[in-house]
Formats: sequence, structure tokens, C-alpha cells
Amino acid sequence: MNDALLELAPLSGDDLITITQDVWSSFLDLELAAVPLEAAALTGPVLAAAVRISGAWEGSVRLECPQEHAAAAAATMFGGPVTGEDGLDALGELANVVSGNVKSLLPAPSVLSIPSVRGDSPDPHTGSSAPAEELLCRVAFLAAPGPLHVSIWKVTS
Amino acid sequence: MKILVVDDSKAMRMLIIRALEQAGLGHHTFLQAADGFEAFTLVTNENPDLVLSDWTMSGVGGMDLLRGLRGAGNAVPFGFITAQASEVRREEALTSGAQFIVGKPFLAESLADVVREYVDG
Repeated sequence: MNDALLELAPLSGDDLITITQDVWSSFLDLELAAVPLEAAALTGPVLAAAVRISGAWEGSVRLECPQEHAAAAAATMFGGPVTGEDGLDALGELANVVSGNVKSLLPAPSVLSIPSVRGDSPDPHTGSSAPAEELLCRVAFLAAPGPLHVSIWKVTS
Repeated sequence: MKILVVDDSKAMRMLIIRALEQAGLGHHTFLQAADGFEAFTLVTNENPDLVLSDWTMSGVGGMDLLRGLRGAGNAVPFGFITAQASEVRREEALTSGAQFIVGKPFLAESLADVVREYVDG
């Protein structure tokens, strides 16, 4: 059971769970267990990646996880030892793939931004040019390298 | 045979190459480029047998790369690997001279099957 705060027709919280699990399984051979938000608290340094969707639907998809989770993802993708920068690169690319699949379920046409990643903030869109957004849906997962949160935000202005 | 992998994410380039190697294509030579500009130079200098490119990249993107190559008379087989493999994009890619488009996430064997048609066929 997960804490989808709001259904986003035609995309549901279950769709977001399935998309994310498919990406982690296909690329990282890692099983993600969907859990309630309170069972997957993000503690310690958190990395975040966001991809903005612009067009017929305006908003963003965000991924947040501890450094350990991003490092494990990068190690699998690189097939060897990685640096902190590699973890950000891996998380950004995973956000891009999740967002591309989310976009396919939203009103068209729309385009994706290049992923923005931050190693010191849960909000990679922080900045004066970022439009106001409201949270539509957040799902949480647990996996061997740590928790993962995926959320969808809609531009309000 | 030479396969050029173009993606602005090094993690994704490595993942694609490892997936193809593990699917039995490790005997080929893999080249890498982080954007379309770098890829155009590599195509010109290294003459790869296949280009696998992301669509959206920081810097010169995959579609600009494809159009640049075709505009210069280069007919190297070209495939997109993108998280946005919609029907609209598929049609745009094929119309612009690409041979195929593969969606992300992909299964290693499925990607390898497509690539084999161009490097082992």
C-alpha cells in the first residue's frame, strides 16, 4: 500500500509505482518494494533529481534517495567503483527514464527538460525561475541500498 | 565493427555498452560521445558501423545529430535509445533517416537483437 496523495487521471499512483519498479528492475536488477511513506523515511544526506514536463501538461517528476542508494545504482550502471558525481549522473538518468514513461500517460504534446540534480537539497528546482508547484502524488519504496521517493508535481501558476 | 553510443549520461552509456557486451556483442568496438557535436566528429573520424543515440541531450541533441549526418550525406545506420519513444517520435525519427527507435527502459536481449541486425547481420 502506498500514499498516493491525489489521483492524477489518467496517471495513478499505481502507474507511478509500476513505472519506477520496471525501471529499477530493468536497469539495476533491483527489486523495489512499495511501502507507506512513513516506512521509508529519508535520513542523512539526500540526493534529488527532477525533470520538468512542459506543454499540454506542466509539472515535474522528482526522485529523492540517500547517497547510498544513488551510489549503488551508479555502481550497477558503471559496472565498477563510482564517485559521488557518478551517483548524481545515475540518479538524473533514472529520473529521465521514469519521467519519459510518466509523460507517455499524460496529455500530449509535451517535452522533457534535461534532468537537474542536487546533492544537498531535496528540491533540485530551487531557484527564482522555478514556477510554483503543488504535490500531486508521492510514492515510496524500500530496497537493499535504502529508500526511494518518487513524486509528481503540477505547476499551479 | 564499431558502435558509437551517444548519451549525455555516462552512466547510461556504460549501461548500454555493458548490456550489449553481456548479450554477446562484446567482440565489437564501442565508442562513446556525450553529445551530438562530439558524436558528429567521431562519426567523421572513426567511421562507425552503427550509431546509438539518446534523443534529448544537453548540448547538441540526437535529432540534430541525425539531421546533420544525413545533410552531410552520411548514411551510417542510426538508432535512437530514448525514454520518449512515442509513436509521434518514432515517425519523426524514421522520416528523418533513423533506422529504429528503442524505448527506455529496455531489456538487454531486446536491444541486442535490434543491434545485431546492423553489426552481425
